Amino acid sequence: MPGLAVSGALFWVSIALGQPVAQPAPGPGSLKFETDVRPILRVYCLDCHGGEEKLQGKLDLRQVRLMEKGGKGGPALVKAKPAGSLLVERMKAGEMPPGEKKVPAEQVALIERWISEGAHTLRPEPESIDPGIAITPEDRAWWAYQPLKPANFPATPPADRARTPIDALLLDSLRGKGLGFAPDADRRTLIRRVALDLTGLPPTQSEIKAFLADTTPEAYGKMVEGYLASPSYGERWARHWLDVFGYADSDGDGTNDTPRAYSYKFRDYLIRSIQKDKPLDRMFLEMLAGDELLPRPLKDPTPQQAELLAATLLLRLGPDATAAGGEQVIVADQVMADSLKIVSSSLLGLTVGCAQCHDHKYDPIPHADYFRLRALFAPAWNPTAWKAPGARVVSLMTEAQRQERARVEGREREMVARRDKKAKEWIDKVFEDEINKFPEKDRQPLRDAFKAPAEKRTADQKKLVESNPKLNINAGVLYQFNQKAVDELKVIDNELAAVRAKKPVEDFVSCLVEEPGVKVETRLHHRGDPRQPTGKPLAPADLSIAQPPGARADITPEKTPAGTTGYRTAWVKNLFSGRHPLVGRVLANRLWLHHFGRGIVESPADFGQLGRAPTHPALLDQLALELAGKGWSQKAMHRLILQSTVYRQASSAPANALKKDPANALYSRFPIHRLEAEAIRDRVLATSGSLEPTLFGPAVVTAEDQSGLVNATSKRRSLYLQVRRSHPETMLASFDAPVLSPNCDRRISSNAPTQALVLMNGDFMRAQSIQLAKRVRAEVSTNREALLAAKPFEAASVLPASSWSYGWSALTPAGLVERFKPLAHWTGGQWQGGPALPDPSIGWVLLNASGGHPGNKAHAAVRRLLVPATGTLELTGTLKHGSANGDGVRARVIAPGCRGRQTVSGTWQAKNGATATRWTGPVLKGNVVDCVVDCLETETSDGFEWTLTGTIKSEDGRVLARLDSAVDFVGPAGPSLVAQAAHAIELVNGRLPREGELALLVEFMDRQATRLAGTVPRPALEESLLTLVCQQLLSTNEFLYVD
Amino acid sequence: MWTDDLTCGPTSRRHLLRQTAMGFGSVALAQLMASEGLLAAQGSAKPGENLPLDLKARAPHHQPRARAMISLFMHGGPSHVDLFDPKPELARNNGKEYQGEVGYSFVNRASKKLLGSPWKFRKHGQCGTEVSELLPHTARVVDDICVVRSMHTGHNGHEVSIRYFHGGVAGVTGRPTMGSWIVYGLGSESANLPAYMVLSDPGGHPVDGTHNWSSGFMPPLYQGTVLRPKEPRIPNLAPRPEVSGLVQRDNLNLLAELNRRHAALHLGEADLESRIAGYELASRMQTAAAEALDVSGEPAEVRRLYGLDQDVTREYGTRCLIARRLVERGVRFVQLFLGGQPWDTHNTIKTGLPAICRRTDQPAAALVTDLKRLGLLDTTLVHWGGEIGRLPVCEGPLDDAVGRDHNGQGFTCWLAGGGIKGGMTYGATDEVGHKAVEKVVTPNDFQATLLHLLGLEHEQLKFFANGRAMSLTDGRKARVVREILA
Repeated sequence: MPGLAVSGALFWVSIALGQPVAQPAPGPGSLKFETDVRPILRVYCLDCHGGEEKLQGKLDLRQVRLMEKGGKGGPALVKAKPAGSLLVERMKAGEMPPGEKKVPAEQVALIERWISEGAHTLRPEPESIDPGIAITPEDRAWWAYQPLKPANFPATPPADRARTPIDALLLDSLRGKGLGFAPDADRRTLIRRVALDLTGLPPTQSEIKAFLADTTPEAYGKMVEGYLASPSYGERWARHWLDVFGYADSDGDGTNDTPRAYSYKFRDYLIRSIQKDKPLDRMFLEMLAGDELLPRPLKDPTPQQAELLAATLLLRLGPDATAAGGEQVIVADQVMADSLKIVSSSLLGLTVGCAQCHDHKYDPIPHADYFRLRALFAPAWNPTAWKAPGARVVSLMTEAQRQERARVEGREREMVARRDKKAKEWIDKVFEDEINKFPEKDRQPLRDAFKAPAEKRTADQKKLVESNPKLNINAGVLYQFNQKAVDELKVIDNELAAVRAKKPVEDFVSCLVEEPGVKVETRLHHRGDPRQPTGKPLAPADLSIAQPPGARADITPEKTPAGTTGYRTAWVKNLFSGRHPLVGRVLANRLWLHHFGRGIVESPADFGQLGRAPTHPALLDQLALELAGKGWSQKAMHRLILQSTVYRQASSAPANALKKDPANALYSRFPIHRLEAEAIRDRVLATSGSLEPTLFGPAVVTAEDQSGLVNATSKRRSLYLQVRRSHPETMLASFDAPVLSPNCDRRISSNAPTQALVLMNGDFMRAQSIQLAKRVRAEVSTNREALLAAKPFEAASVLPASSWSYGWSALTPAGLVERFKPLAHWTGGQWQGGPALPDPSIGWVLLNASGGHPGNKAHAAVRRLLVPATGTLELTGTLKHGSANGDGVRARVIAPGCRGRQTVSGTWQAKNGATATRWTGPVLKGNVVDCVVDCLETETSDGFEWTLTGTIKSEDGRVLARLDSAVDFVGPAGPSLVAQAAHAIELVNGRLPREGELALLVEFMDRQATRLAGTVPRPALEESLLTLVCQQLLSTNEFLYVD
Repeated sequence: MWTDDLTCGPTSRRHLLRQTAMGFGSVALAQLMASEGLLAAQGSAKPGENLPLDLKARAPHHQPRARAMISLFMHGGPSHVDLFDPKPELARNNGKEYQGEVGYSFVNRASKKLLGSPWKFRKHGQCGTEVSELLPHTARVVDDICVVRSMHTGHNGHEVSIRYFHGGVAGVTGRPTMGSWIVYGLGSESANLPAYMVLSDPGGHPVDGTHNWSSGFMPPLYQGTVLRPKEPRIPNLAPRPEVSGLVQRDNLNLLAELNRRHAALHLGEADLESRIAGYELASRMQTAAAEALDVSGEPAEVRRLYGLDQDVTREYGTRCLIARRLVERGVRFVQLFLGGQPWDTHNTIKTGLPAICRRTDQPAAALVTDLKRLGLLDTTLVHWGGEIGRLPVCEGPLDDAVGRDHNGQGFTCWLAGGGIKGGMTYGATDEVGHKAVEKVVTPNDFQATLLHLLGLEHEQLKFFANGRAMSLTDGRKARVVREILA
């Protein structure tokens, strides 16, 4: 029994130290100052009585010894006498603490009990005490500050399918409940899960096929590697980090919300870095101190140097209202506080910001620690010489480009001068031409008047100018006088434009750059007020609690190529030394969170007292150790996690797991979770085949509509859409894309009715469903499995077969159809004999929606109607023949006459004109009515139009069927609608139809066909029905969730 | 699950219960809702935990007086000394130098000359509350409203005070608005409509834009659903004609069936189940919201009451009428905004102020009259007011173009219904209307009072975010203004 042995050992240690074992529920006589009382005082009292150097009422409550000594009002505590202890009395009287927030009664009672028990401490109290609220051994005992502990692997029998150390650790707790992992998920589920997880996009059909075909043991690993190597992987995982980094393309400065033109370079830097698996220690070094790695001055940056500069924007990503006015020192302070929050929630997993105004009330982060941490960044942010958001750019123009630009500009000036000179010459010439149209005597006065500067004209001259507007010749009106002038100038203009086009454009990168030699002192802000710095300058340092007891948190500045302080470089190196208790855990937890949709610690940015405890602490430590051990490689961690059985198991709960692990706390199955907003939108685009895969570049801007809604129409991946803090994209926002103020450490997954409305009625979903239906129809014939799956349903097809068929025949002397032969070739718009026209064997016969062309006398064109109902048929139309050549065409309706014999019952002719046709007669369902057009004697120029519309009515005049030869015109029947639906399922869900699923869809389409038939024409009906199917499939939970 | 007799509109069982006396009705209502499983999340959450993040109706902290609230937010700072806060001293000293200290926003046009109100005040109603001649319609409902004359933000700026009113902390964004807190605390009483709705103005977003209805650190579930100023007021609400009606019903049936089959493979996943229900709500919303937003069926006298028959009042009147219809159908919190800030009368106050009064006076008064007529005023809080008031001194020279600068030191708002005592005024500004001096009410006091009437205690209603327990009043001192409670 290993569990007992451990407690036993602890027990002996405790006895040896003369201390009783701490019990989870304190019994009588067990209350101790350090563990029970001090945490209460810390929340309610210590800010004024011990936290600051100035003690209120000269009372210090940090030690029992000091409480006994007391303050102005006398001793605060008398051992064993709660009634005489001021501490309790003033709390009970509601006098202390001042303000609304009082100590809860049960906590006061606890303090009373502790006093009456004798006010014990765990340890003897030292005689002297450092200022401030010190970090106590109790604080240090918190799990997150412990050194990482390598796991003690339980022996795991092979039957438990442990593939990785992760599995071994999880199986340990599962077996405690008599559970194991669920069976491995099927291969289609696996590739879908991995593709969505690693790339945020569904697997393509060919990827699925290849994976299914590969039956080697390495297939899964190969598939994972394939996705890790894809550019989409970089996009997907960059998106995760962008959340916690608070990335946005705007400043968040009030209603302006000024766009950030160059922020995209940080996003692209991140995608590239993740794509090439830049180790996290290097990536964070670049993001937090990239500028320190660059020699100064920053001139002629190489592309690599530009990347480093782009990386530093991390420290400038938060909202920034300093351009919008307000008290600069306060607004800038807020910007720095937000940035520090971004850094601490990404790396430290503590709510460091709570220590901005006072010692953290719950976690051991002293007020001064906050400002020591800030001192690391102060020389870079430099609040004393604060840079406005627009000024934080470095030009990427190289010296060579600058020279080239100067050269082009010189050339430009020269050409402009040439052009102006030319224009002047033309203007003068045209002016003279016009002057010369005046009588000789008027010419010189006019010349003088117009040439004189406006302000120096005499009254007469002014009058002359006013009354002769025609002589006001300038470059803009030259074209009205002389085309040659215009042409000549145009040539120069074109040359000028060509030269200008070659001018190098100056590009910039937004970044944070520390200037060498800058010294900024950081002092503690009294109560967090930046206008009240107090005390001595603070040395830059990491959090005290993150160091081993006794070790200093001060960083030793590094010499940097930039000649800067090196604070940040040194700090990052310390963070990634492998000894930092927080960084490894925080990063490992974040990776786990994104793979499983939940963290081992569910508060990924708060590992402190108010955060959530780790569900699997040993696993978290193991992962953190693996991360450092694998050189901080994210891809190595992906491989480790994706290889595990816990990741590869099915998401359906076996019955016993559902009972014993209802919330899946033990990972007895893969946790199903909803895709993030961006992944949903991207998956829709990828599924419909309209995703535009362009990587990188400036944010895609979408204009707001008049009600202020942003509905992106771009087909690019969502992470390229402009993120404006105050103008979120409607669909993304409804699916919980974060509001960045300043960052988002954990996505939520809400379920608002607006999500359903977006899916049901939104333009985006509608357009994408139509697109998907088109894709399905274009591709279905290659999907053999879909065709096969549809077979059983084809007898009872959703849509009735078309009533019309298209053929040719020779005519009997009586004009009857000798033998109907279908036209064999469909061009996409018309039926004809073969690919070539005329066809070698049947000649010119063709039929299209509105008419056609007969062949020679032996080849009449026949449009055949299979009567769909019994009643009175009426068919009307207009026979049109457009050519004056030849002898025109003859149209006949051949229908069953008496005793059912086919009879010519209507004949019309047209030549270079139109003839109305009308036929009516009784018909039986299943009768054949042929509408025949022949060429008379010659087939020359016999193209015709003959659209027939009509109804079949019952005896009481009800319309049983409507006919329209143009609207009803159809090509050859393709794969059935059922096969199309089967293919749609495969495209949407990456799997074959399940048992009963096609029957459900057939039934659905059947019903919808009758509803739509009235409004949608026959040929469009199939596509409409399929579009409905597609939209529902794209709205299912199966599509929105990873399972 | 929702059942049909609970959701079929104003004549539903729940509605009838609501209309009975509050005492009996609310008990019965609570029982009814409990029987329907709607009070699954009763009482407060465990320490450190949030209430369930859904919209199920929840029991309040104590017996509520109001169950819904309509706020007519008057962006820009209505000039209290010209509307609700008569100052004979100011009139007497018109044009004379003001002796007190003044904080100006527009220093370039700053003046210390006092500006007496150009408009006459008269006592109205049985209570005799004085109202300016600019608000003849509001004057007729004074017996039902409480005029608070001692509002105070301490900040003269618009945004800083707006955020104080909405989010509880002056100048800070990223916090949930009062509407978010109310809906988070109480859930929704409508199965067919969003619980928090914002009626936006055709003149565009108000100053401070979307912050006015942000859910801040709460999930977007609690964000105000913004209605467009014209049809379609809710985007994506109406299905396209070709997929409406039975076609959509069939669509949703298919979708539900596919989702049920999927859920059957993933037993125990509540999230999947609730999403199936989400479609049903959305589907009902399509008709319910369309019905609620359609005022064409209102009787002619009601349309006239709100001024729908006149060009100047039609737009705002329609929105006030919609607000009443929404509350009638169980919506918890409705807020009306004005585009830009029409009350921000820095200059030409003599024409600007009457203009915005003409646009809003009749509709605002009609809302009170109409709610009362329908027996809904008892349980519906109505708020009229802006984020600041205006200075007693001139902005610019004392001529026809004179205006008044910002004043966050003292101003007026009014409240009605939902447990507010009508026919009274509360608090006072100094003799020229510059600073609130008697019974000062801060935005936090205002919030604490309104939450209290809705059955919530501002200190108990907490949301845990970023490792902190947040509250609307942010742990600051705030008092329930008991003197104005009925």
